[in-house]
Amino acid sequence: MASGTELKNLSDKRRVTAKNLIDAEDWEMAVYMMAMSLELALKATSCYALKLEAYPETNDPNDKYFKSHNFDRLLRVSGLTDIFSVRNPMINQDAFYNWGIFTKAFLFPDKDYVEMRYDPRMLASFNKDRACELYKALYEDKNSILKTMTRYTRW
Amino acid sequence: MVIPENYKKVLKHFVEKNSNQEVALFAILKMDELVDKWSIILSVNWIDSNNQREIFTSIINTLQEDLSPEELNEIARIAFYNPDDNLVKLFFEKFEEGQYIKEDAKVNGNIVHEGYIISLNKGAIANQASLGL
Repeated sequence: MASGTELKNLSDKRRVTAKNLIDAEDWEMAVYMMAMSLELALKATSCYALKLEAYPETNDPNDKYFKSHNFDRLLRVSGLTDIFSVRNPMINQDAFYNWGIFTKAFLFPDKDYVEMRYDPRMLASFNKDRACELYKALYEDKNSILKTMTRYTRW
Repeated sequence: MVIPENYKKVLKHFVEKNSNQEVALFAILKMDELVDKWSIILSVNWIDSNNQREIFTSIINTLQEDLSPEELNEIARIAFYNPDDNLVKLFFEKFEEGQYIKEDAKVNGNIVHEGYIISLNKGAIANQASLGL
């Protein structure tokens, strides 16, 4: 499996792909790439937090944290719960705001985001406004999820 | 562990801070069976892109004033929904104010593992319609 650095590079690439897809007005696939970028970012951060040479590649059916697409589970192993939380005092309120904006989009659909490619109903829920709002929360805002992770040198 | 009375206090103070404007939905939901974190669902008809950040700060400040550090640690996110959102309509169909969701409940196909419907106020939407909003 990939190292933390490799996962970070992949996350960056998928984020750029998402921006290219926004520019091409392919809103649904842009959102899919953004979600993939966040998943890779959280996995990269886990490698740094846990000092792992590579992200664990496991066939253990009981492993529901490392082998997951669920943002809340990945957040837990990434060591980022101090930043993306309501702890008092908060480390960065704007970053937690952006975390809520982004992850809310994947809170209620009945499938992991990875299956949205085959689900027209789920894809249709992402229009221009939502795609741009999610991209801002993920990267464009100065306190976006990814920029905050960089500022606090978590990956 | 969620203590609903504490969230009722949060709602009361949040409403007071925001000129007693109505809240359509205020719920605390556990969306993942493994992660003991709760999503706060908030729907008000007086939110828009211009004041959403301000309202977020208002609810954060209220949570920090009324909840313990342990309770704050359990919050996964704050999610805003427009009262017109289908999800909010589903809540009105399926649940009642004060309801404790103790067994897995399907909402929009996804499972809510546990939850507290602190406030569910259909009047907030009716008032919005009567104002032509």
